[in-house]
Amino acid sequence: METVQFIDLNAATVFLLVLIGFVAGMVSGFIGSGGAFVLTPAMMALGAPAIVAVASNICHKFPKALVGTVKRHKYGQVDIKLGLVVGVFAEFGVLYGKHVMTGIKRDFGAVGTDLYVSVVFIVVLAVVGGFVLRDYRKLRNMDHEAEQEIPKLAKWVHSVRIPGTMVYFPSAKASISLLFIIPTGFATGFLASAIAVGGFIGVPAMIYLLGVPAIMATATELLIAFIMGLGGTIFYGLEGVVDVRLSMLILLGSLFGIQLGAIGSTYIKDYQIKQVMATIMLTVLFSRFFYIPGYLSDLHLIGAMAPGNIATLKTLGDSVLAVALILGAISVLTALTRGIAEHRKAELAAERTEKLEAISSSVNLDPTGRFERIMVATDGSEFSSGAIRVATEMARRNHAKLLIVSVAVFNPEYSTSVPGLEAAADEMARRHAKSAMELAAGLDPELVVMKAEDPYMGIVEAAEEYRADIIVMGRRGKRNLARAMVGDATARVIGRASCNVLVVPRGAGNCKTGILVATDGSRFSDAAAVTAGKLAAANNLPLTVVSVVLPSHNQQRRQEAQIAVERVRKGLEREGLAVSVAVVEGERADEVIVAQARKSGADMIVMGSHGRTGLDRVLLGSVAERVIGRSEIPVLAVKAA
Amino acid sequence: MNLHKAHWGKVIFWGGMTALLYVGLFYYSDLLLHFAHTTPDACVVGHGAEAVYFHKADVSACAAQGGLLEKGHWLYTFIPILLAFAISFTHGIFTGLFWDIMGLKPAHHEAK
Repeated sequence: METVQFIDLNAATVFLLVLIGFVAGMVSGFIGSGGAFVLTPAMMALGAPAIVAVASNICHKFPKALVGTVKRHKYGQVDIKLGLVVGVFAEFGVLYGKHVMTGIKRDFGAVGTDLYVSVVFIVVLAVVGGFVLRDYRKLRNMDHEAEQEIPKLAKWVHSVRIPGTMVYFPSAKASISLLFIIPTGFATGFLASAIAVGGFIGVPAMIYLLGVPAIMATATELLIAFIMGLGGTIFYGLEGVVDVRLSMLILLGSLFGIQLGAIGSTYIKDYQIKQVMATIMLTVLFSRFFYIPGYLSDLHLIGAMAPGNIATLKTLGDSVLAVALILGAISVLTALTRGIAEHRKAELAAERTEKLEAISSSVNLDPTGRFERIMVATDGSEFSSGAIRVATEMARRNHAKLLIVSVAVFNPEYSTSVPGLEAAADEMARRHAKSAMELAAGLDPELVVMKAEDPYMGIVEAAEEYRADIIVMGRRGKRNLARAMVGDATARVIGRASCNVLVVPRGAGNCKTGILVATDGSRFSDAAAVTAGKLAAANNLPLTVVSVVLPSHNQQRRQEAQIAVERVRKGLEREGLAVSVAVVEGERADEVIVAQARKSGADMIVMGSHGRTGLDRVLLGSVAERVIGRSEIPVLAVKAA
Repeated sequence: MNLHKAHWGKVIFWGGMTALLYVGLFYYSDLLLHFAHTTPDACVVGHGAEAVYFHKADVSACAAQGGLLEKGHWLYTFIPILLAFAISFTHGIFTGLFWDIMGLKPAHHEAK
């Protein structure tokens, strides 16, 4: 019979757990590591047996990993095939690791697992901490991160051909033998079950051994962490050692901390992050040394030590761990406060200059049809090419300022000890923006590189800060799904941006033949009509106003539709525009609008976006969303002024 | 709509949901611990917060401790998993909105 005692929680331990979670989360968000290397020892320091600390740590991590996976999958960063394959073998590693752990617990008791976890920690932290320290020294002496190439080892792995074991992985852009994947997964899982930080092996192995780009490796690691975490929680749960109270208390603090740390990391240079990371890792490592004599004594592997001495050593260990956490907290908060102060100062200066510039440029006081500052978003993909083409032409015609925005997706959680991950994301965003700039030659565009957790956030923020009148962006089609879906980023930008958004399908060109404006008589549609009128007048194009009625609509609704189109016609004809109107019946409004655009020869659809608040999906009216998803010509979603 | 002007209503809603889950977690903590310990077969000595659990127990050893051997149930392992998902979901949304409303945002830079 053996007892596994969960720690007693009182106000002090609850406070400490939340605080530790917060600081660990902050450190984790800041240095881009799971932070478990702080959490497991900290829970052990509070009295949790090692097996409970590891199990509870794994349990708090996997839902976060799932959220991260879903987020980053949207931006094409997760190699699902690789994640699943490595994840499955990692599960075997977890199972074996748990078997080792429970075996030690059976043979040597809880103190045996304490010693085992401490030793694994010391070895892993020494190796990884050493590497990070080396990276820090290297990075400090470089001005900018060198572009990452496929490592030599990975090139060799790609060249090995073992028939019957080859699997193609899109992230590595190569077929790799499963004989390399199996040990990678197994080791990742084994480490995760031993210390709850599998990423220390998984991420570097994917980069250096399999040749996966750093950004994709960290994103794929999230999927692996989820699979392992879920499996690990089930395995440890079956042993009865998951303390959900501990898991949820550290989660309470860590979710606050992670975001704060992640934001803080954007204000400092990559090598400074490495410096903090190495310092914390080596301090945590150092703290474990103080516990080991006590464990050895309890296991009778050395001569018995006086309990007083063991307690003193434990206090020393706890203090060193506390120092590591405090160091981490200070580093993050200093970076954040200093960074924000400098950032605000720079922003104020920029605002003053911009105000002066704005007065000297041509003035149009009607925001609905203003196209003085056109912002085009690029992610370097084929989906943005149409948007860049259209935005460039639009800027040329309207003598407008062209802003090119590219977002460096930053999500440091789980990125572990990858040299220059942030720099790589930044570099990639910069490269995308620069290639867009080549397409916009002669317009003197302004490049804006934003750092944001989600591309849509970066785009919306850039539009706000740089006072864009319109955002032009591509539409990411979803293969094998009904085309009635718009990419999430596009839908969210339309939902959140305060300016109009022009969505350009990949192959679409400029508006040259006519404009179709869809109306349902709402004020959103009125704003769309005004904007369409301005565009038609500026480009001398015919306008078609269409309203859709469904077969289920009664006579009154049909009359309302007729009134709506006539109202818009009158309003636009007053501006001297050529307007034709139509009320068309159909089963689906989106299909009718797209078909009507084709029939009338229009090469742009203008419609109101529903600026409703609430969940993201409702931010964009469902008809507008479906039209955008279905249309082969650009669609302008107009915000009600 | 400015990203940083997240609605207070949403913050309060998700904060409230999170708080509710945490209150539930601690209100039922003895029960949750009981479920955790009795996922495998366990010897339970005492009741409620005072209970002591022994794993890998047999009937006679358990009786010697004055406890009762309780048959474990593997389904209990999903209780912490479901809780972790629920809290992670509501709390994740809440913290995001919280920092948003506090006006904290990552740095960005611009290149000409």
